[in-house]
Amino acid sequence: MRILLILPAYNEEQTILQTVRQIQETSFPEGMEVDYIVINDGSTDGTEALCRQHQLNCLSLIQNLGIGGAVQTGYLYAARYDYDIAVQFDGDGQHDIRSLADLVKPVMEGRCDFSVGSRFVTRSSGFQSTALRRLGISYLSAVIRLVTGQKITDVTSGYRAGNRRAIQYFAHNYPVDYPEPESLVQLHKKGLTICEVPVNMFERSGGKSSINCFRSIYYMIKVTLAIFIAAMQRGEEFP
Amino acid sequence: MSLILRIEMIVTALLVMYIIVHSVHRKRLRIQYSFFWLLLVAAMLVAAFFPGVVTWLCQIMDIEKPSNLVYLCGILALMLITFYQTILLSKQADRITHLTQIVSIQKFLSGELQEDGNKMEESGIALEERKGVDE
Repeated sequence: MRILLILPAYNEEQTILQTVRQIQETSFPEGMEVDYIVINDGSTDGTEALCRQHQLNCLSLIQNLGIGGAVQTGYLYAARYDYDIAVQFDGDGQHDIRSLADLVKPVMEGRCDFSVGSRFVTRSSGFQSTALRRLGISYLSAVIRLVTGQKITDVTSGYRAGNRRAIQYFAHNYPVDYPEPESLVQLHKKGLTICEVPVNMFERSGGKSSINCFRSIYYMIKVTLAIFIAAMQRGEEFP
Repeated sequence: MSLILRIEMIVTALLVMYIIVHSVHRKRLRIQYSFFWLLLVAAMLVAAFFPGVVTWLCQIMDIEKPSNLVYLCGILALMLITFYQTILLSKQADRITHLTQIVSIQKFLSGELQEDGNKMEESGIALEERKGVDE
């Protein structure tokens, strides 16, 4: 199966090359044909030059769109090139490429449309994030469970894999900022099945988190609102 | 409603109407968006020329002074316009996002062609240098 790794990168010159090299050096199980695309989200540092210099497969957005718009570009690309599976993979070295096979397995086997890589399912990850952040994540997890009835532990995880149906949906509808939790509710509403897979993650080796601590309260309120609004939309089945 | 308030309203209405028409003529405002503003002007003129309408509405709505009703309507109209603009803004933001994505993808697809084109456009010296390298 053809698998596309979508690597959104905003000012990630410190880490992007290493991340791509790791992908290139990893040998994947049979039946997995893995490509990658870096989506350079209008970086102001040397990310674009670095990509060009090392001839990485890099699509540079002509202006900064934010994480949602960048990831969606990846899904548009995946839809255009007819990939079977698209995987969101951070350019900052947080996600462990060795977990990829586990992550895509349920999607490849058709057990679900979308799989979320989780740090918490079985404490699979060496890196568990800070206590405060874990509290925030379990709160969002509870909110999502309330509106979808499904238990997803690591709702903010950016390490996720989707099949063609998910690709098509996200190519046309993807939330703008802090999109992970909201997009799960949207998928659920459109009748796509979600499953959770234990994966390994590292502490970010460079770059900044898209969520800084001063904004976290605002983030929580906004995401909660977004989840409820997404939950109230009409749940038509997505083809 | 006092005579002065009525005169003020007429003057304001005429001024606003002039600005709207002028803006449309100079293509700074689309006719479709001028419509709501002209409606507002019309409402002001009606209120100024037929104050009976306002006092009658005040009695129905239990508002003490007609001027209060005028202000209330003004505020509601402004809120409506602002809300409409926020919707328009969101729609345009979505369109800009989509445009950016499509243009960026197209640019990526024609990447190598584009790069060659850029090199051709560079100064003659650069071109000659390139020839030299090729040879």
